[in-house]
Amino acid sequence: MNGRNQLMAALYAKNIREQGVAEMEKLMRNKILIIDDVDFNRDMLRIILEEDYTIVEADNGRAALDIIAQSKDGFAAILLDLLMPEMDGFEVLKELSARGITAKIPVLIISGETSVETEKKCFEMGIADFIGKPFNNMLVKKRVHNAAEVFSTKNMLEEKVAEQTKVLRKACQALKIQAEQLKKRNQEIIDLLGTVVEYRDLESGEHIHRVKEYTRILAECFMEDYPEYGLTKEKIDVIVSASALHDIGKIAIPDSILNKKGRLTKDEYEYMKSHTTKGCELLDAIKSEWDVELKKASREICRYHHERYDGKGYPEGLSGDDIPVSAQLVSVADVYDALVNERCYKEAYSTEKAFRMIVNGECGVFSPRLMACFRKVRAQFEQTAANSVA
Amino acid sequence: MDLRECYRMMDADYDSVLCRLGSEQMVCRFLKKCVEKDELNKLQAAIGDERWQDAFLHAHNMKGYGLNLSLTAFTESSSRLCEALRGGEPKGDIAGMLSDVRADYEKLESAVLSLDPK
Repeated sequence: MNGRNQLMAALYAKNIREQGVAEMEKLMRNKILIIDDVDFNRDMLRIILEEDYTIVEADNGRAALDIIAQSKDGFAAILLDLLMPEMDGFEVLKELSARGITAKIPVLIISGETSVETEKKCFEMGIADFIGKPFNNMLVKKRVHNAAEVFSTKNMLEEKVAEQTKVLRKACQALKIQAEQLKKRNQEIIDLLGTVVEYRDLESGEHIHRVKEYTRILAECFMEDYPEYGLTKEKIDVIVSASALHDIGKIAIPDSILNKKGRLTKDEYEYMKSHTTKGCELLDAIKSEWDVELKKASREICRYHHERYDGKGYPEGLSGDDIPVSAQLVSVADVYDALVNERCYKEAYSTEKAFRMIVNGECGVFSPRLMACFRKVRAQFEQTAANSVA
Repeated sequence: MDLRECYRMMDADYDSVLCRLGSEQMVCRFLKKCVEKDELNKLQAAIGDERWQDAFLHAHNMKGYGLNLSLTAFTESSSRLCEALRGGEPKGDIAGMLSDVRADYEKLESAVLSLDPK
């Protein structure tokens, strides 16, 4: 049962049925609080308004504030005199404003102080209207009624908006969770795709995870030391995610070349190199929409992770920072992992040897800035390599 | 005496008050309330004791009765006294202004007593 019905039931229980429906309707009407130390004024306003409202009176500011604090249902409006002894209307208004009452209940000043400065001051303190003396019955009724209606509608709308906001926040939260789950699924699929390729050249599939880890370690150091490259945490996440696809083009390389134990012939080498461009073609063949940034990073890494800083890489012979930073990062990660792990054409090297080979340019020339970071994060690389073996 | 005559006796505005308050019954009710208030004695006592803020509030209240009941002359005299007492420091001939208020109040009292009982 709502509040109204509960009160109706209580009144019936107290045997006031004989007072009639009219009396009960009177009790349920909206309340107006009149605050004025002069009973003449309170009486006049009560007579004007009692036809439509239940009137509550207070003859001083402190009593009024107590009444307001204790009132459960609130008031449709508060009529407030300005000039009162002990606590004047301005002090009452200040307190009402501080308690947030003026935002919920219309406060109308009723006063003979009708200077522009006084009115202005009252409006600045948050009143809804200013009714100057002499009172006009009809105008007082209308202005009180209008103020009460406006605030009632405003309060109802605010409640509705608050409710809707709550619902929307819940829905947004649910969507966020779904988006995260989707992101996770997508990443699992990307990783799986990358791993499928690795399984072909007899890798354990852990290569993808290690390359992602090395890429992240290197990228985070690069972001801190070289902010001019514009790396952010979000961009690093994208690059790390895309790094899983760096060798997807190997799908197009036959086993005879991919898993050949000995040295590749010139033609075989050229064919092997094509895994960069073929990988890009594969990615371009994906018809469905995928994240723009992820697509861009995937293509860059796929195509350019064998380019070298001095222009002696492939497929296009790009040099310097013409090579996208995403591809530069994954280059180092990929080379390091290949060196410290067994391949069909070599044994696993020690981390010490791998480090020296890379910084000495034995695996191609990398960016000096990247090498500075690589030196800084050497221990983290070696820890990752060790964890993988374990 | 009917209400219109009463208002003429007091130099007050009958048409204005009736237009605003809507009924002679309401006007009469509050006229009687006005003279029951003893506000004049309280005002005189406050002035006598130099309790200027209290005196200001009493004068302000009387101005309010006058405004609401369209008691033109009474409103003017009590307004003048009210402004002279504003701010806690009396300005001008307070005794003279009080005398004017007393005269208008006595006219009001006399007129109300002469009203036809209703």
